[in-house]
Amino acid sequence: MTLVQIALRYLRARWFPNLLTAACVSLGVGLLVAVIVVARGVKEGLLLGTSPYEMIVGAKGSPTQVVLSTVFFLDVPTGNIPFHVFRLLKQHPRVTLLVPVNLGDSYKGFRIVGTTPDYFTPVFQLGRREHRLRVAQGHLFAKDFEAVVGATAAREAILTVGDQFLGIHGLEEGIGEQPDPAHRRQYTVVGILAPSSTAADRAIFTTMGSVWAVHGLPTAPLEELLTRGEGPPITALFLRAQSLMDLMLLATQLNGGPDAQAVFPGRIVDRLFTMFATGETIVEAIAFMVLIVAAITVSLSLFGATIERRREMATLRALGASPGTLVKLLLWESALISLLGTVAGFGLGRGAAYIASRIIETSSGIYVPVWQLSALEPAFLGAMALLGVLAGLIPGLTAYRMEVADHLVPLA
Amino acid sequence: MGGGERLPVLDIHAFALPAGKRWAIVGPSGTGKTTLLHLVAGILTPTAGNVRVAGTDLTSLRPAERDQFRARNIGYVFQSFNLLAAFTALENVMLAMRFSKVIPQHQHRARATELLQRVGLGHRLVHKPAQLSNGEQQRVAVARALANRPCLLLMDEPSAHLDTETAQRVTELVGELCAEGEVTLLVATHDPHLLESVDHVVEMQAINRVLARGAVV
Repeated sequence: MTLVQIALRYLRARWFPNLLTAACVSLGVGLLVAVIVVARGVKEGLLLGTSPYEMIVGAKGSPTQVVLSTVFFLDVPTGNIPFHVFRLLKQHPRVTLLVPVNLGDSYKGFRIVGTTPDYFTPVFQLGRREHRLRVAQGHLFAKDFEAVVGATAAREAILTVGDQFLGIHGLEEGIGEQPDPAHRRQYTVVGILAPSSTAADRAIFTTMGSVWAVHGLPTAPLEELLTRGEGPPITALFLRAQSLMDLMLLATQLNGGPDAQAVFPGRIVDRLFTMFATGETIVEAIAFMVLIVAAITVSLSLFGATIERRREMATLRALGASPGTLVKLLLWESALISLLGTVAGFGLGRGAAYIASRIIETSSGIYVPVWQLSALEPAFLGAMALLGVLAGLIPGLTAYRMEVADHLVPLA
Repeated sequence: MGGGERLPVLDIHAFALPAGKRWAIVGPSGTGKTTLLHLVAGILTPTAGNVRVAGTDLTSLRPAERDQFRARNIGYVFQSFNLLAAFTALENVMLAMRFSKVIPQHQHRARATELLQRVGLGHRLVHKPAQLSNGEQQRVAVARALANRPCLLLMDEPSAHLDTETAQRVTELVGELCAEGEVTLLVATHDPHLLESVDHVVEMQAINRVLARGAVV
């Protein structure tokens, strides 16, 4: 029999207390894994969502609000920017991508977004992961009041190609409310998007003109408005330029003017995470403390088991097991309990992170990837294994220093 | 102990056990029989003097070396058997071989099975100590003690927990096994029936000078 088999046999003999000890470890590990995975997932989701756009041009106000409202369709926009800003940027030779976005209405809680087909061309990218917006059924909108519905929105609002629906003003009215008379214009679903794990899954897309029309604004094809040089206001513009220098110059120019502000979404995501970092650190510290408590629990449990098994330990010594062998045996027991707890904790943590990710996605539309292993996790597994082995040291030393003869006296 | 003065338990001028013989030490409880066995087994080390087994001075060995020497050369049947509760009868015997490394590992199971069959427990291999009677536990302890083909077998009050008939059967069995393996036997007992089966009987009062001095043990 190997020492591991002997350790397993002893663990099985005290399965219930050992299971409780492993459960303590799994709770600590699970809490820490969930915190790490969800925090990383939210950050990746935010970075992924903003990845196609180097700059967002929106109305003056909170830059965070501009990003949250236009990219993730959370919050309300800061306002509108004049059409001439769009025209100016459209004609700018250094701008490589310019996507206008109009917000205002919704259907069953899902934003109706006025935009152009350019919205669907950029690739959402984070590391090696790529997400594209692709029409799974039907086609892209070509005329006003044609709508392309995101995968989640289509599923939850029960919309299929050919369906018609009425938008309602804003998001505040809630699901099932009737639209006010001014907005009684039927949209026709002409396409359904494939799931993309972006905010687009939870939105409904249509032409810019549709959004202007339902708000009673004079409308015409976008090219015509651009030629004419005037048109209705726009909520925001997503932009890419040839170089970082071009972006910086454009930002300086826009921020210096009265009509709009330039926002760098990557910076906003970083700022958001800097704001939340302290809270995250506190939760991580608590989780680490829970882990240390779990390791102490392992140590205490094994210490108790060692005291309880003094006669058995002494017998093993009498059979030829060296003091070092007993230490190794107890280290194995400790490591195995910790391993069981850690593996269960990883499952628990991943499960909790998955549930949390679904709640975040449902409530905010931010895609939270939780299945990818982070670099932290193997390091963390190693640290837990080390902690588990360390937890066996005190019981091991107790066994090492045990006076064998004292525990081999005949039982009364 | 508890900060009090340590009292000597044993003071033996000389005690030699001839190889291949079966000796018994007798004396009332508390006269140092178990302590003597522990000293001979190297479980205890004397505060002065030395203990030699098969030419090796146990007192000169480091604890781990002493553990190995004991595992390889000495079989010990404890008064309370001290079987390992988490393991089956077969595993209890195999564990003794695992720590001594005298018998090649691939033979452990076969030898343990054979020994348990010899002591009449072929049908109890996978039973744990709690599922065995006192007599059966005693026989597992005997099989375990003989697993490594020791040159010396120590037995501490082997009949203390057994009825007369079972004690007699175990005594006969040990006698047979010792004769087969040319094992030297030292048994501590105050059971008069057991004394009939040994070659020589030593009175603790005769070798323990602490008793002669009238000290309380």
